[in-house]
Formats: sequence, structure tokens, C-alpha cells
Amino acid sequence: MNGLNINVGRGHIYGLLGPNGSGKTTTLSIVMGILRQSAGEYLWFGEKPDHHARTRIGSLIEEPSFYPYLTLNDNLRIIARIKGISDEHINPVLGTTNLLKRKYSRYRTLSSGLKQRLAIAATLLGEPRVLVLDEPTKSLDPEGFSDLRNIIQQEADKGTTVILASHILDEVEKVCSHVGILNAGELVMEGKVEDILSGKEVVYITVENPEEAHKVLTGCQLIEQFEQEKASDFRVLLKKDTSPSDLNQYLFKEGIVTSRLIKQQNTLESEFLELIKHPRSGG
Amino acid sequence: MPRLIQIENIKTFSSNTFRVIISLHLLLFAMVLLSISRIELSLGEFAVSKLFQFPYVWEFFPWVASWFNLLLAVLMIVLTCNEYRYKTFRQQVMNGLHEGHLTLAKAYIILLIALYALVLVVVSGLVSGGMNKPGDAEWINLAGFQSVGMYFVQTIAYMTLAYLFAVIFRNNGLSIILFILYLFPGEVIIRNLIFPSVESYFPAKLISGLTPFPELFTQQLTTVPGSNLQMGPAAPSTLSSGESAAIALLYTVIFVVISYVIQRKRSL
Repeated sequence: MNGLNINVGRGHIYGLLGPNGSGKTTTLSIVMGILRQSAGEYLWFGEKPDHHARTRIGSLIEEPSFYPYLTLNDNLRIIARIKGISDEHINPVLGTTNLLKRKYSRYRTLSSGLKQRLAIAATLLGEPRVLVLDEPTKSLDPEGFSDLRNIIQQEADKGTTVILASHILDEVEKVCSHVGILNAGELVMEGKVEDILSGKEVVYITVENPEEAHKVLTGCQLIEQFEQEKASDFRVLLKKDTSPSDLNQYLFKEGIVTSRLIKQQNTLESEFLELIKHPRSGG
Repeated sequence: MPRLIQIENIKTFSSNTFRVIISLHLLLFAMVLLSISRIELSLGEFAVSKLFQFPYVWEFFPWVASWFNLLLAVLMIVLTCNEYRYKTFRQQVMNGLHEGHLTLAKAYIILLIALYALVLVVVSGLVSGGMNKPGDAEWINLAGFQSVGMYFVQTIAYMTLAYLFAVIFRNNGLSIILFILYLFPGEVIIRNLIFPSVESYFPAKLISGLTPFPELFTQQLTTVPGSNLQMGPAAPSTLSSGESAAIALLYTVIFVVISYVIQRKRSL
């Protein structure tokens, strides 16, 4: 990790995005106390972390980890003991994840999708203040996806903070209020999802006089940066509050004729891919 | 601590591995004693049957039981390495346990298994001594009972050493093989080649010496007329039994502390 600095506020649904190897799981493992950081510190609930703090956190990192020879009930009883809560909390979480009928089945008899559901049920035990979920949609079917989205939303409505690392950008966009994008151990962007999506836009233009266009774009105050992709094609990152039509009018005034102007669809996925391919300062 | 005990009870008693190995231990101990009891051998005043009487039973039974300490040590290795294999140690830390709790919980299991072994030896000793007492003998004779205590310390020390191997190597096969190789010939080589002057203090030798070949047994054999046996009493040790037990307990503490430090420092 490289100078990572993240602040997750109470009640946020914070999406941690990044390509494979960007450091999402490493970050979550460090803050959950299972990986030693070489430098830096972190706080939970504004205090130095200890094991007591982790009893108020429901976490799922990488694979679900349970005793294969124990039943679902016994596996959850162990977690209940660790968190200092009674067994009465077990049925509700199994009900939420549609596992009540399998309460006395041994863990090893579950499919991978049901194992993932149990892992999610385990994170909900004891009404945690924070949920830390690393790729929670792994192995889930579409119904599971939808159920998880509802669970996250319900928890957030109760005031639970959710930290969610995922590759499923579409889901993150629907669920998360804030997002941080990692690349090669560095936070390249962070902010509210709505700000990221409604902020800067990317347009692709084709011009008839590319040399002139290059000079004009170099001095243009309406754009963050541009790139000449082919002889006559440019990729242009607009500044916030600048629309594609503003750029078009400017270019026209400067005598640049555009034969094509296409705005990139503004989704978290497009922003994410843009950031990964063309890193810019942020975070 | 009560929570940790409950957690370990849930995990351990439902484990087939635990049930099978403990059952095997019980069965082997009983079958070996039964087999020895069938040997009809009398030489002068010595008879195999005396080994099953008070007070000789208190040295003989722990000595036989010590043959199976390896089984209990392997059980500890399996119970511990499985926690790494299933990544349950990791998940339990994430759920709110401290790394020290992991070590404390396994220390409870070591104590529990050692207590089981102790009760096995005591109960079988009482039954055997009671059933085989000569007509005029006391109903119960606890002379030499300290050997049972030494066996208890030995069992704890072996299992703690095995636990340390499991924490270091985190793999069932590797931990078991290296543990056995350390007991023999590993430590033997180190003792004899490198530190011969202090060999009595090495852990495996010291721990195994807590249940020596029964002295009463060898004394009886030397009284056999015409016997060419040169056994006699065992060669005097540099350490008394009390000193050996104390050092064995110190080693136990050291193994536990090292295990804790490793778990604290290494990523789960």
C-alpha cells in the first residue's frame, strides 16, 4: 500500500473498488487485525483498535471460514460466544439469509452459494455497528445478489456502516453512497458516488484539423486533460460543470470543426476504467 | 475464560478426529495392559502379576500410558493445524478474539486431555490394584503415587511442544513428521554431538525421563537367584524427579509463550 488514507464516516456505505492486486483485501485484512501493516495506523470508532472493537464489526474477507464438521447452528454459536451474545440471535440471521431450514445441516454439505450466505449471516450476528464485506457476492445467484443488496440497504437504514469491496461495479453503484478507488496500492479517487458520476465527463471528438485542434485544446480552460488517440481523434476529459456542448461551442469559436463528438456513458464502471487506464490525481 | 471453554467444547467434542484418537488411546492402553496381564511369568519373588498390584501399579501404569503420549501429541497437532487449514483462527480474531485467546483456548484443551489421561491411569490403577490385592494387603496403597503426577506433567509438556510445532508449521503432515523427527533422532543428535554436557536438560529427554522404567520392577528382577541381569537400579540421573518436573513445567510455559508470540507476530 502506498500512502493510503481513507476515512469512512458513520452510516456510509463505502465501496472499495480496484482491479485485481490493487490492495482491497490487503487493506481490509489490515484493519481487521489479521495482517500486520509495516507502517501506519488505523482507528476503529475513533479509538486504537483492539479485539473488543472487532466484536462490534461483522466481517467477511476472502473465503467463508467455518468448521466443516459442525452444523450451521454450532458454527454460529461459536461466533455468538465470541461476540458475547446469546443463541437467540442465530435464528433471525439465518432467516434473513434463507438458511433456517438448513440450521442443523453440517457446513460441508452446503453448496458454495449457501456457504456464502452463511458467511453473510455470520456478519449480521449481534447487530454489528460496521459490516466489512470483501467480495460478498461471490458464488451468489441473482436471487442472492438481490437479497444481499436488500440486506445492505436495511443495515444502512439502521445506521450500520458498510465497507464493501467488490468487482461488481454495477452493484456498487446501486448500493454505495461513497466509493474509494484503489490502483496499485494507491487511492486514486474517493468521494460520493453521485459526485463522481455527475462530475467530470469524457468526450471523444474527431476533428478535421488535428494540428490546430491540438494547439487549441492545450490552452483550453474548459478541460482537465486530453489525449490524441489517433490522427484526428481526441479523448477529452472535461472539467466539472463543463458540458460537451460547451466544448463544442468553444472549438467552433476557435475554428475547429468537429465531425464527431461522443459523450462516454457516465457510470461508475466507465469512471473506474478511465481512472485505471488514465490515472489522475485524486484521493 | 468461560466463553473460551464453551467455544472449545463445541469445536472439539464434535470433531471425529478427537473422538477417534481418544477412543484409540483408551483402547490401546487397555489392550496393552490386558495383554501384559496375560503373561504368566514368575522368577523368584518377581511375577508379572505384581505389576498390577499396589503399590507397583502406580509406577507401571503411567509408564505404559507414556507409550501413547505421541498419540495425544498428534491429536493436538491435528486440532491446531486444522484451525489454520479452515482459517478459523483468522476468522475468530476478526470476530473479536485476541491472539492470546487462541493460545489460552488450546491450553485448556491440553489440560483437558491431560486430565482425561490422568483419570484413565488413576481409575485403571485403582481397579487393577483393588482387584489384584493379596488377601492380607491394604485395600489401597498410594506409595509411589507421585509417578502418576509425573505422568500428568509429561503429558502436558508433550502436548504443548506439539502445539508449538503446529503453530510454527501450520500444516498437519509437516508438523507431525517434524515433531516425531525432533523427538528422534533430532534432539538425540543435537544432544550427543553439540551439547553432551547438558543433555539431561534438553526438553525431549527431560520430558521422557519423567516416567522412567519402573524402579521397583528392576529391583525385583535383580533379586532373582542366578539371574544374569545387570539391570539393577536405573543409572542415577543428574536431576531429581522434583527438579525434572519443575523444569518440564518451565519448558511448558516457554512453549506456550513462544506459541503466543508467533501467533501475535505472524499474520493469520
